[in-house]
Amino acid sequence: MSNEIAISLSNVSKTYELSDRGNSFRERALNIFTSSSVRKIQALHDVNIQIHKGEVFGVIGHNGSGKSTLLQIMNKSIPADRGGKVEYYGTAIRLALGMGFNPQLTARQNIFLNSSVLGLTIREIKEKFDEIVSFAELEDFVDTPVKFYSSGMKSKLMFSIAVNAQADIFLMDEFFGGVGDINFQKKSEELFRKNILQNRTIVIVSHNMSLIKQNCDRVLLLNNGIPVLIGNPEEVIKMYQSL
Amino acid sequence: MVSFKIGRATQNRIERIYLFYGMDYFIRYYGSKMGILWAFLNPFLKILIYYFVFSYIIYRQSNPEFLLKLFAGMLLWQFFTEATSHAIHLFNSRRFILQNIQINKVDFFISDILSKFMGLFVNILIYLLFAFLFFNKVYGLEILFLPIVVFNFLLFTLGVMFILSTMYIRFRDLDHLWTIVIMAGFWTVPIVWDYKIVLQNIPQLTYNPLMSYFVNVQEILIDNHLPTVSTFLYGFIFSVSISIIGYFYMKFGSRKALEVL
Repeated sequence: MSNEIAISLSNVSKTYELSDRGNSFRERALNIFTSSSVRKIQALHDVNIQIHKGEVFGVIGHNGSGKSTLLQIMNKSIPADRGGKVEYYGTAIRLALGMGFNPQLTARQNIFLNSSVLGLTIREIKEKFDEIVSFAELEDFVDTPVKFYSSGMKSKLMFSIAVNAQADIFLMDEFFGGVGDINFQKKSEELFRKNILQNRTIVIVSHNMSLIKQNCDRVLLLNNGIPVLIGNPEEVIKMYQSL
Repeated sequence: MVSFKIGRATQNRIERIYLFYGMDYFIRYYGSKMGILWAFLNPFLKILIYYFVFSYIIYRQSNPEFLLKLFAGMLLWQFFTEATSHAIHLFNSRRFILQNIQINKVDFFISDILSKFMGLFVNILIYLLFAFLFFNKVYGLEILFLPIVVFNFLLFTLGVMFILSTMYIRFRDLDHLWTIVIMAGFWTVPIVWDYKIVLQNIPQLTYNPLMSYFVNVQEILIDNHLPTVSTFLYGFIFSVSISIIGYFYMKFGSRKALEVL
């Protein structure tokens, strides 16, 4: 772990606004004379974190505590409330169970698309193609549309792309728990043990406390969107269990 | 020797647009045995239907020149319809990437319009061949203005695509409404009617920015003369302003696309 900052969040809050005005012309036209109300749900309250390059950072909390929202904000796929600042350095990829592919395309096509978005040139993708496929153990299904894949297979493929395309930041949303496959889990654990993912910044959102304990350098505990504690895994897990 | 080298980031971006372009192409014709043939057959069948209806049912006299006008108009209309209707769902159809990796959203639009433009480009080539073989049409310098007019039209379409895709985030029934707009819009541009006659009776139709592109293309392809400056400028101003307005609307309006969709 270096002193360089990989992800920096300052004053990040997130409020979801649920309006009953409807989201179609028809509903808006029908409700034109009725007053509308907007229900606000605050998913995150003033989060300030700096994650270092090469750090494995865990995020734990009960369901609905804002963990996934936090990851999506780190990934900039959803914006933080006004005043919040999110910065990351390098390429970031969010890994969630069975997500990230166009179901109509084959694994081969999806590998090219995703790797290119992660910054690889077509030439580099061609060079790494076999490696990506064999790490994901999907040699026999390369030209099968991804819609026929199980969510475990999709997750393996996405992880393999992220590892081989050398993404700098891995944002894992309940990722390993879902893959399930023993062989793949061993392989992924090896990645952590053998430091293949060294210098990559990893943020893990998980309910699997042993995964968090074994791998994370620091852990953040969220409760109802409020950052309760950031510290070493044992201390934070203890606090979580007492909540 | 002078060597041309582009930066890695630019190369990556061009390749990414190319890959998305290829993806769109593949998905459109995936599972269809006739494949790409449909893309070309579709406008021709439509042209034949309109030709038959107008020449034999409505006017009861055939006018071969009318076929050329229909062809020229339908090419543009087909492109506009396909590009804009597809753009409505653009954020939804690309969410699999948007949710996981940061990407410049403009790339989606560029690859999308390029894939539709390929169809238009091939159809224009077929038109030129058709006009030469059956109507002995040979073009002079005026044909050099065709790419400029088509580019204007492309830019205008891109602007509309930006606006529609972003509006869809707030108005989920936009595609139903757009189908009606497209249906009505067909009759506001000179495809089945002659602009030289109709515009004299209904000059208000010239306010429709789409009109300028259709008129300019017909001036070049049918009348063999340079586009009228005023019509061209009107179209140009619209294409630049709509694409700029559309871009900023998309940039700021689509920030919450993922959480709302």
